[in-house]
Parts: sequence; C-alpha cells; structure tokens
Amino acid sequence: MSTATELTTAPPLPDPADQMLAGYWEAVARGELVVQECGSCAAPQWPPRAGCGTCGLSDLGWRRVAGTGTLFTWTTVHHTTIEYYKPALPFALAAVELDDAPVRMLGRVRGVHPDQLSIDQPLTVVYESVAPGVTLPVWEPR
Amino acid sequence: MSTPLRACIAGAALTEFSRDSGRSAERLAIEVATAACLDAGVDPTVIDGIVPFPHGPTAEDLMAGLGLPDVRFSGVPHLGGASSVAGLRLAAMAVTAGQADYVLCFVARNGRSSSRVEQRVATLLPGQRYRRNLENPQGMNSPAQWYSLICRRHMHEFGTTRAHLAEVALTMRAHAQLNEHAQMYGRPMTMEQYMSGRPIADPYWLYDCCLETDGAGAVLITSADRAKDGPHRPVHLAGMAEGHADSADDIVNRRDIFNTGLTKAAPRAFGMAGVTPSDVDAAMIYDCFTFEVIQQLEEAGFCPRGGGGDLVADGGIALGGRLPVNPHGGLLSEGHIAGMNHVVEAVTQLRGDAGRRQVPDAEVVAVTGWGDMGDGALAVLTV
Repeated sequence: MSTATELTTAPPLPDPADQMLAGYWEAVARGELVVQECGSCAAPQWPPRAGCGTCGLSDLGWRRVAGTGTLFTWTTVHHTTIEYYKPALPFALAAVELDDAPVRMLGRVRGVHPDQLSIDQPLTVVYESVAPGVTLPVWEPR
Repeated sequence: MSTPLRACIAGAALTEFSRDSGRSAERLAIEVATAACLDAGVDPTVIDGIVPFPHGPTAEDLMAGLGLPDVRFSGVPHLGGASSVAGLRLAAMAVTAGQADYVLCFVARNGRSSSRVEQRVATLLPGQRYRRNLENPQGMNSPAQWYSLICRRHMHEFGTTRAHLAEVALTMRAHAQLNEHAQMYGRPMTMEQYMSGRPIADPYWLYDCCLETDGAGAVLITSADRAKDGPHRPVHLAGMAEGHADSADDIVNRRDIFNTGLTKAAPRAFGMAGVTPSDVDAAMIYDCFTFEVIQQLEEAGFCPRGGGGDLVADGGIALGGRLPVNPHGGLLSEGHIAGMNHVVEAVTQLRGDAGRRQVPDAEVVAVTGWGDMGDGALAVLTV
C-alpha cells in the first residue's frame, strides 16, 4: 500500500515494462514524440495497439512526429481524486490533433489558464518530470 | 438477415433508492429478483437464465441465494452503462432460441455507499492499458472528464450551450417531482440552483452529473406465450441492438467523435422493430450527464445531428413535449442503477401504470444505453 505522503509526491505512474508502450516511453525519455506506424501500409495510429487498425496483423514500429498540433477539444478539471493534482486545480486536459499525423493525443495543458483556451489553438509538446526518471509529455501554447 | 427475436418482459421491479441501503449488493440482487418474479406471477425457481451487470453481484450469487436448481444460460454484456439495454437482447436471444425459458436481467449495487464511480471505471473500462499509462498519469480518470471532451466539441461545432444542458437537468428534476420513488422527489431545482453548482469537469458542473445510488432493478424476460398468462400486460421486446464506436477503446481517436455505438445500433433496433424514431411515444435516454441526452437524441435519430439543443429547449423533452424523456427523472434525478431503472420505467409506462407521470397512450418506448468509451445500445419496447 502507498502511504499518503507517497501519493502526493507523484501522480499515478506509467508502467515502464508495458511492452506495447515501451517504444513510446523510450522516445519520451529522449525528448521525442512518436506515434505507432504500420510496417506494411505505413498508416499511423494512436494509441498504440497490438495490430494495425488499417490492415490487420503486421509489424508495427514508431514514427517520430514534430510534437505540434491544435486543440481539438478540452475539459477543465475542477475536481480530482488524484492527490498529486489537487494543488494544480483547475487545469485543462486536452485532445491535441497532431499537425503531421491524423491522430489525437490526450494530455495536460500548462502555461495558460484554462479559461484562455480556444478550439484549434496551436500547441506544442514539452516534457515535464513528475517523478525520478519519469517524464510526461504535456502541452503549451505556441 | 437476422432472425426475429420474440420475447417479452413479464416482470419488472426496483428496490428503494438511497445513499446507503444498509445491506449488501448481493442482498439487493436477491430482493429485486424475487420482486420481479412476483410481479410476473412466477416463483423465482423458474429462473433458468441470468444476465448480470458487468460489475456487481454475479449469476452465481443469485443461483446460490435463491436456490435456483438449473440455470442453463448466463451471459454478461460488456458495454459499461449500456449493458442494461444490451442485456435485454442477450436474454431475448436465449429465449427465442429455446435456450432458456425465464431470463432475469438485473443490476444491484451500493453505488453511493460502496463502489463509487472512480472505483468502477478503474476495473470496468476497456483499454485499461491506455487509462493507466497514458491518461491517469496526466490527471484524467473520470467519466465526467472523458465525456465532457465530446460535449465541448459539440458546443464548438453546433452552438450547444450551457442553457441546453440546464434544460436537461431541470427537466429531469421536474419529472422526479412526479415520482415518489426518485431520490430527488420533494427536492425541486431552480435555474439559479443549477447555476450555483460547482464546476466538476467544465463544461460539466455539479448538476450536469448523475446521482450515485444504492439500489437494484431487474426485469424477467420470457416468451410471449408464457408472458400472456401473467398478471400484467406483456411488454414486447420489439427491436434491440448494440453498437461499438470506431476506436472503441479510446474516446478522442475516432475521426468523427460523435459517431458512437448508438449511431450504429439505433437503425438496427428501429429496423428490427419496424418503427421509426417518429413513432416513439417516450424515450428513456441514458443520462449519465446532461449532454449525453442531447447527443443520444441526435445519434438515435430523434433529431438531426446538431439539433439536440433545439429539441431539449422549451420543454421539448418534458412530459407533454415533443418527445417526453425519462418521466421517472432519469439517472440525474431518480437514481443511477446503470439504466435498469430506464428499462423498468419503460415497462411501467407501457403498462399504463405511471400515475401522475404517465405519457398518455404510450405504445412505443425507446430505451438507450451509453457506456464505456462510447458503446451504445437501443431497445424498442411495445405493447
């Protein structure tokens, strides 16, 4: 069991051993953003899955993307059950439409008050350390 | 072509709804199963098929607790909140195929005092890999957050407003004043009170969110032949379908974010029933949040996409309006037992037993379910 102290010092952390997402987290650790890409039909997809949603069973790899996009939609969180995020309220969670791949990524927006956001606003990825050795991609206005 | 399904709801029951039932969910299940059989005029031991909700008491809990001698069919739909409606189809398929004679579909839970929503979604939702690794670390972990993403986009594309959301909340609350069983009976709400709620996941504020409830509901499904000998007018399961959205495990990566399971299911269900949305006398819409009513009215075909705001405005979904929705008060104001109360209300309306909230001459009622990352189901019930 986690203690209350541990709960407040980090958000829920991703599992670094998850086989399907390992390549993504390795890229994030390098300061790069990637989406999954099919080795057969070259279709990008997100989130990463065990098969290609376009052509089925095939080899799947990773495609580096620029880490820029536009705000497709967002929610402004005013209530959270996650202790780590309580001091950050209110904050925005956004679906970001990437500029160079037809996928949307969910992530927190920082560097702007949620009330100042607008749909289609340009955003860029930045990397935020949330625990020793754990970095998350989050989004800022550009 | 699919085989027509021939099955009826012969019995329906609810327990009381509360914030603390004071007994186990398994006990609630046994009580409501017994009550549904009593309502159908049969002994509980006739149950030979069980469709439980994917979270909560199991088929085995009923077998053991009721002493059922030979349950020969069980199946669990996995569509989150749409499971109550999707389960009707499973039961009807079993009855039509002769695989069971009496199938009990039930939901029982202490959703307020025990298994609250954030605990349920942490095990129930599909795509747990994405929830745990990609979303929870970013601070996203509740249905209000996921679903409000769709609402915000709808507001942008179609001009839906908070006044439209308020219309849904206030209509459900007004309906609950006609239903002594509702948790919000005797607690009317004004626009001022609605607006004074605190924000939860904007555009969802407190009164855009449904209740959390301790309680249970069940229906007993059997053949039309068996149902005709019961104490009540049989309610026919005329059309039923389930649907799953593209990008079924991720809510924002469907190119058309509004094209969800219900979009696919509704034409199938209406087609099976041989009716159109304009034939529907009342609709029970899965109102986990206010906007989900607007979206499902559109995707079920009661109005064009983008027309949901106009439909709910000016009393359009109130009793006496263009399409009465949730005369019982819905999940927002009657109580939240994952939509089984919507199924029971449909039965009550079709029997003509709804008292002050009766929709006059109700003969065709549609019930929707919404769940998980956009799963949907629709059932058309008739007398």
